Amino acid sequence: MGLEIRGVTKSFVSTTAVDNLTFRLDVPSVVGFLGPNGAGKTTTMRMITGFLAPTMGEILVDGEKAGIDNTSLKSKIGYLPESNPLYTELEVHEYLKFAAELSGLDPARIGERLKFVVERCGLKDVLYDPIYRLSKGYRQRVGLAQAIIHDPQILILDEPTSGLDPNQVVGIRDLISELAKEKFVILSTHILSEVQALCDRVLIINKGKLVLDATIDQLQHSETAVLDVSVKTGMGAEEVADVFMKGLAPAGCSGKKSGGIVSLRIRAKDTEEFRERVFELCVSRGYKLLEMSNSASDLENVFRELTLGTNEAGQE
Amino acid sequence: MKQDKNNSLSVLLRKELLISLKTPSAYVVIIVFLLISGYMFAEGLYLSNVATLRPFFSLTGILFLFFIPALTMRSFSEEFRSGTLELLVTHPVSRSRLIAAKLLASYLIVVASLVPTMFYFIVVASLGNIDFGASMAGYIGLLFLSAGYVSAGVFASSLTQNQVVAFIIALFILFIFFIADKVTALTTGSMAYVLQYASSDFHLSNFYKGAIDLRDVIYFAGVTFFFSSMTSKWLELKFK
Repeated sequence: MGLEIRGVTKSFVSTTAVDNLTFRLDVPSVVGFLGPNGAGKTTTMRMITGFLAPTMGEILVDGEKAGIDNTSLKSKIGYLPESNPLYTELEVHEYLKFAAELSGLDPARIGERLKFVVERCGLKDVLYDPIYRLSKGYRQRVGLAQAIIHDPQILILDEPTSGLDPNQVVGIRDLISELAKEKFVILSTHILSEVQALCDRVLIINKGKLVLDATIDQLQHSETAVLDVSVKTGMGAEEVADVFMKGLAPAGCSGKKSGGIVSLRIRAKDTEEFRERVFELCVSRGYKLLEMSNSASDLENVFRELTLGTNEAGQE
Repeated sequence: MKQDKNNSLSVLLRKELLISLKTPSAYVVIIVFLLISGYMFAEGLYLSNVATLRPFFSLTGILFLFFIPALTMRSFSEEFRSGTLELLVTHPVSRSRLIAAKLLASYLIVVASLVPTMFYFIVVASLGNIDFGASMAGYIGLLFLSAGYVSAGVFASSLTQNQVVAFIIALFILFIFFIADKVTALTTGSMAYVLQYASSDFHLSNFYKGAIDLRDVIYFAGVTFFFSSMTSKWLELKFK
């Protein structure tokens, strides 16, 4: 069981969009696939789903070589493309039924699966509407429903929550998390908080090369983790930051003050022991410790560090 | 092959026809075809006073030069433009089935547009002594010609995401086939013979004169096969 990308390269006439990419998914989980625009995310997803053929390397689904011509294998994959193409003339139920049949879903199961996706993607109210009449949020959910209707083992979602309102985002994230209990999900997104909320593992690619493959857990406890600390004190922000730099020797520390509260961002390996030292330092200096949390933005830092200096060149 | 178990061809065909039923373009094209052919047929019948469908078959051969590209221009172009081809290709569907569904869908619409013209046959038959065999052969000829034209139209559509461009390319291809035997006067000997054999109009006329000749059947089957294979080859190259 699983998905394996082995030394995959995709060259177009003037560019190499994906360059010797290797990774594998062995356990059902959600993998966040990140990278700047033009890094090769969509090209990679298109190769996994059999829309494009790799120039070199191979993609294995359950140990079987995937590819444009391996049509039967495609029923194991569900795909929501970035542009979310739909047959807008069709009504939602017609379209979903078409997608299910085309995926080779057992006709006896179509009714049951249709009911499931309509309920989970919140499509009940628009089931008999033509797709061209739907809002972007509904269209996105129709696209997602299409990707999961045949109960695929592997789900490739290219920016699944784009165009959704915050409530819908939560609903769709819950659905993805639930699906990931037994499926291999690769999800591309630009919303880093989404990755933190949803993914077990992060892959970052830049200029077609894999530059990071780590679990969210590893990231949060790496040297580059960011700890947000708020203390109440009469001292200035810079002074406090200086105290922390000298007292704890972290990789970095900056502070800003508003209304008697200094908010610090400390870059250091976030361990229990380190947190204890932060606490002890506050006590010894007479700072009132208000808050200490592992910041969501550490991924942002990692992302920026690994991908900075990239331009828009390349095929997306 | 494994995928032979599934019924992707009928699923795709149903989708094509469903979309055609829901969009006005097919209706518009069919209505315009029937209006023009009906008018010309009635006028010709009135003027010549001969109980024959020959002018209708000959005229339809010309109308189809425009009518079939108008029906087929959408088939692949629209899938490219809207990105839905990505959906189709990433589902368990082989290329040949995809093309077969496109061809069949357009072909069925062309055939559907011919059904009302049976009325002309009834009119002529009621007015005089019609050559039943030649009329049937003429219809069979139109069915063969349509298959060839549809395959050329679908091929043109696979070349571009712009429907208008697809229409013009198809019209251009079909026009060359149509005109081939009209320029034989400019050539001599075997070249004239080749040109005549290449002409779709020449083969159609053989049918409606009442002869179903294997050479004419082979000609249209060959054209159909040629453009279908070209479409397949082109789509294969496009995604390498």
